[in-house]
Amino acid sequence: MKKNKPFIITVLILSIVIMSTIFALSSPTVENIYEISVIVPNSSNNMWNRFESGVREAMDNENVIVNIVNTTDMETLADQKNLIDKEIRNGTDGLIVEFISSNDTEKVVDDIVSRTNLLLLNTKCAMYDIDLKKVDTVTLDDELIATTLTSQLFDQVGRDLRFKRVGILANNVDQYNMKKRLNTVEDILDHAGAKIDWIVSGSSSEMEEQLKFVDIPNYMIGLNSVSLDSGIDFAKKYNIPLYGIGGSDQNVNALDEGIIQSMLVPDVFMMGYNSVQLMVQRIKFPHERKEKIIDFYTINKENMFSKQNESILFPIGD
Amino acid sequence: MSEHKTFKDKFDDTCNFKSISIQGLMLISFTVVSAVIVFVLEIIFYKFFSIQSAQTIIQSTKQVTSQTTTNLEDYLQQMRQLSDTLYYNSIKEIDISNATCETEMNMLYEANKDKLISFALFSEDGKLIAASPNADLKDDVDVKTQQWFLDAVSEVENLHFSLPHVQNLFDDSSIRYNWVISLSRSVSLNDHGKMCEGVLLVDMNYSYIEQILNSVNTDNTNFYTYLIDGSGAVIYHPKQMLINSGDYKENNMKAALYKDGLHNEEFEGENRNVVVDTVGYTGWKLVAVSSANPSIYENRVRYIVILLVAVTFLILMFINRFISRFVSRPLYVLAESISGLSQGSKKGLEILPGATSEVKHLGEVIHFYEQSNERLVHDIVKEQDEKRKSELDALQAQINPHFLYNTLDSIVWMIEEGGKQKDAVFMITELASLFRLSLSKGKTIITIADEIKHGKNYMNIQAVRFKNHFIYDFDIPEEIEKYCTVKLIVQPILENAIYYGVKNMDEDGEIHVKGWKENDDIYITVSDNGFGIPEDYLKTILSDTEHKKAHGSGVGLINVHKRIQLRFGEQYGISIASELDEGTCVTIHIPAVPYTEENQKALEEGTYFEKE
Amino acid sequence: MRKVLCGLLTVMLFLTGCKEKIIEEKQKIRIGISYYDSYDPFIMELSSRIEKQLNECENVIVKSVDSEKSQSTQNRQVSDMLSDSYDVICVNLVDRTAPKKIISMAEDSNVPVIFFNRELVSQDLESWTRLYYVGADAGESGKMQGEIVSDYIKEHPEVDKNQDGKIQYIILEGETGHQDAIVRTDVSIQTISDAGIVLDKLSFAIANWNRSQACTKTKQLLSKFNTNIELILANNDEMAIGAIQALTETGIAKEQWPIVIGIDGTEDGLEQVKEGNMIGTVYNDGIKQADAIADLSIALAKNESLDSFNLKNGRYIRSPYQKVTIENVDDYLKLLQ
Repeated sequence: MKKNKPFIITVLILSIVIMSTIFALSSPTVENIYEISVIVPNSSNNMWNRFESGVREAMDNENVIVNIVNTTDMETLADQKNLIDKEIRNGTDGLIVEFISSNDTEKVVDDIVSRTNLLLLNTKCAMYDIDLKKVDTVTLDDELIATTLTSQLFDQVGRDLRFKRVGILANNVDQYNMKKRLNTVEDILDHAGAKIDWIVSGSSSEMEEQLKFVDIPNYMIGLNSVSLDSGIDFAKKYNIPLYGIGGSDQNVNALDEGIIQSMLVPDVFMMGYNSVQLMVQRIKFPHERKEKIIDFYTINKENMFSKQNESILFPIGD
Repeated sequence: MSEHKTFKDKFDDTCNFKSISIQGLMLISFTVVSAVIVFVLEIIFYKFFSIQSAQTIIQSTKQVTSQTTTNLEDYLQQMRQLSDTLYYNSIKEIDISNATCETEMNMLYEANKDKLISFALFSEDGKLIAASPNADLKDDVDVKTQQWFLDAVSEVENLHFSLPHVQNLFDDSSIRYNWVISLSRSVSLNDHGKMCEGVLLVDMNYSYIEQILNSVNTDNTNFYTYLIDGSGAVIYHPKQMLINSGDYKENNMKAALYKDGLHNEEFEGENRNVVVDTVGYTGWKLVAVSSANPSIYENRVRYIVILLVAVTFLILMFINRFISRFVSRPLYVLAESISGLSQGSKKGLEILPGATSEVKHLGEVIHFYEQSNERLVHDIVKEQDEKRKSELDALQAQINPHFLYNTLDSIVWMIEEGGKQKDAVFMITELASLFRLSLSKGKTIITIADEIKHGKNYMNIQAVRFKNHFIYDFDIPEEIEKYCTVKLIVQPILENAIYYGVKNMDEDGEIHVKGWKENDDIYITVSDNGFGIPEDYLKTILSDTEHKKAHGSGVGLINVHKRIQLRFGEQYGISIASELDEGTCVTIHIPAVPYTEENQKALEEGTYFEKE
Repeated sequence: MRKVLCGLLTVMLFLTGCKEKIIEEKQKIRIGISYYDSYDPFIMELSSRIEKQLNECENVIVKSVDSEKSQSTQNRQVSDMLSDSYDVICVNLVDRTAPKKIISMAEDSNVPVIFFNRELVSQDLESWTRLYYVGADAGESGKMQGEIVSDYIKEHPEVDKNQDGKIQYIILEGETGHQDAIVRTDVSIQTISDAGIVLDKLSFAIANWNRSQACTKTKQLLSKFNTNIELILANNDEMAIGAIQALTETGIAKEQWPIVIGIDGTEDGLEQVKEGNMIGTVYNDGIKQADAIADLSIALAKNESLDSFNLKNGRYIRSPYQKVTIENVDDYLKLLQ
């Protein structure tokens, strides 16, 4: 028997190798595909189309399926929390979230982080007291974008806005980024001497409703796509120059028609692309917090068909 | 002697400690050879398939590229034909001031609406003359500044294809924006009979081209294709969005300089094979990129290869084991049975039926030698037996009671007769000497001197008994006295000489004993002048073992002859010459072996002659 | 030794089996929707309602894709969905005469298909048992349109501007070769004729269901026929609105306008009815259809019984059209809020 020992050992090793190879071959390759869920407000609004294109591009490169959850009925943070829970229950590998409200989100963040991976959109980690080592963010530089926005107004109208009245549409002032933009704009306009006549906020139907009762200002500012959308009819009707931050189809159309004078368009495509990439990186190799700032472009009627701006406003393909 | 063991010694020690079996050796060598072959083949196949697969990919790339280029050319040609048809069959025929080409435009549009976005005809100052399907221009559009317009008027003889761009012309209620490639040309218009210039614009549906190239890219995973114009500007690229934002780099500017066909380039650290095909008329280039080092070992393939290697190896191992066992087992069994034999087992030699020819041959040879050996042993044993028997016989003969009685009788008579005391003493002394020499302390090999003395003793006694019936003498030179001989060879011959030779003679019988040395031989003859031995008797005397004599010692010449032969070899012994009535001469022939303790011992044990 | 080997083998096989079970549990229901054009408002309303309904269910993933009016793109999208193991696919065909590729791919993968809104011929639909159609009866819409028109004309004889006893009309058609367009056109005209009204066809135009194309075509026809046009029939609301746009832009006085009528009952269309620019429209119950598609797809994915759906011929779900005129337009506007 001793003579047989090396033989039997070799046979055993080879059998193990064969078994495990067959095992590896027969396992479906689906295992390694990660699932990521995206929960952002107004998911069916076409302003997220470019985000989706960016997501799809990232999906091509990595082995990942991204599910953009339908949030048409999501109105409060509690609603969002429910959707988040549902996705975690369904076994998602990571969550990309833009909070519908930035009030009292610490607990929610804590909860999510304990159960799965998290990436936050359009918010700054600095506002949280808790340890956000485990959360990535992809965001715009809200201060910068708001400043640029007002400077667009100054470019066209001059820096002296005394006796000028400005109306502001701010879709969701509960959100951190909206708050930041609003505060920055208010500050700068104050300095320029302008009077903030009114600020409407809420969902698009709420804002449209409020618009029925406001005075006609000299200028209007919409702080995101939804805000701009809601203000287009009003601005068109009363010929009020409208400025804003956006990029949805209606925004672009209004820009083309001259209703919107100048629009800052964030590169939402890259927002989608980068957030999926970061999330996949995190799932594979948990890392320290990473923050990515997305670019934006200043576009108006004259330059909207330039080669660069064309690709931002009208992404090729779907 | 060095106490230090040399390395070689130590090595030998370890080797001896685990000496390797044939099976083990075969197994190891087969395994090593298999492993080497498998790995070498692996590497060869890897290299071969790597090259082959790169080649195959290049082939399919070329094929697909050429097919796609043809598709694109067809599409572009169709569009050119549309432009031509509209121009030559409609626009040229009318006076735009009072007729319209809208009907034809609408028809052509409807027939090709999946590939087109729109037609439009402009005057040279940018006014819209006709358009389909939508004729509402945007208010603030100045077509004169748009690239397609500029291209058309700058080169009036050609058709111009633009780079992809968003159409900025019509007021479309559905807020849809279309990516188009503008095909524009300068046209001659008839306005109120006057000739003037205009531009005919066919806006092609970019997504048509996009879909063609998208499906090529999704259908083929080994390479991707992109489309550039003559100057290298990207018309289509699967990663277009990322290129725009700078996250992805492409070697399109270089590719624009490549001639059609296969090129190898190094880009971003990767070695790639690039196939370029030009799309006719436009100067566009279709570029297909594949990796020059295709990794054929993506996971699945890697696993399959490992599986094949492992299974082959496993099978080989089993085969190796089987073969090596097959070969070595008969040897093993043979070896076992040989060692069994040497330990006295009765089993005999085992040759397995499946043994190879060499093993069989070995077995047969061993068998033969074993049998020879047995026979030899048998012979030796037999020889020893015979020796012992003859010596015993000889010895026995010496203690023959008859001789003793007779001699003692003689002695008694001598004593009784009186006056013959001296003779009696002589007889007794001789007898004692005779017996003492007979025994020779149990030795079989004695000196010739002692043997002759023994013979003399005997003759002296017999002479007295036979009352000097005969005379005798011993002629033995001193030099041969110190040589070896077998005891009790002379006396029996003397006895024969007396009883058969001279005893019944009336006249004086004579017995002469003579000895001499001749080179390495010693001869002792006993000759008498007696009756002789008849011829036919002479022949059988030395061969017939049954022939025993009742007289005297009774041992006979055969016994002497045999003992000499047994002790010294067959070339020695006695020979008899005889003539009736004349006499007999018996010659003893033995080798001249000086009597030393060594030689004596060797001859006793029978090992003397082995030295030679 | 051999026993150890056998033991190892058994353990390995068990592991393989366990792994597969774990993967199964993680699977959700995947439903795919492919529509022919994202710029068709009716289709978009339909799709978003389907998505909304499906998202309210647990464990369901919905994915909608735009085929951008290309049948080959749609075929590819369906093929992708099938290889991603979608459980049910809802298809709004680009080319109703070319469903064969989709049907054969679905049959090979044994994945049921719900066609909706753009109807294929019955032979194609019946070529495999797991094909379904949800939509409305085009003939019914044509009939209702005809009835609204004939009722209106009978009540408003001033429609016949030149009082020649005939109604001069133009018709804006959807697409060449499109089933709905053909049926709506033919049945509508037939219904009006059957009501005893004499029609005089001035012209027709193909406007691809599109508002601005209809506007352009109407303008072209207006420049040809001017105010002689007494009735504009449109296969859908978008084209009717385009015609109204053309009328507005050419500056014709409202009293001279022909009567305009469309089909679908989109929000914009209803607005036009309310404002009196359209004499009416025929409401296509997209809500009911969307709900039916959502429910049917869940039932198919879960392999439940389809008895509760009352499928005609085992495959068809048709929601009835409803007439909309100025009298009841408000009710429908409320529905769409």
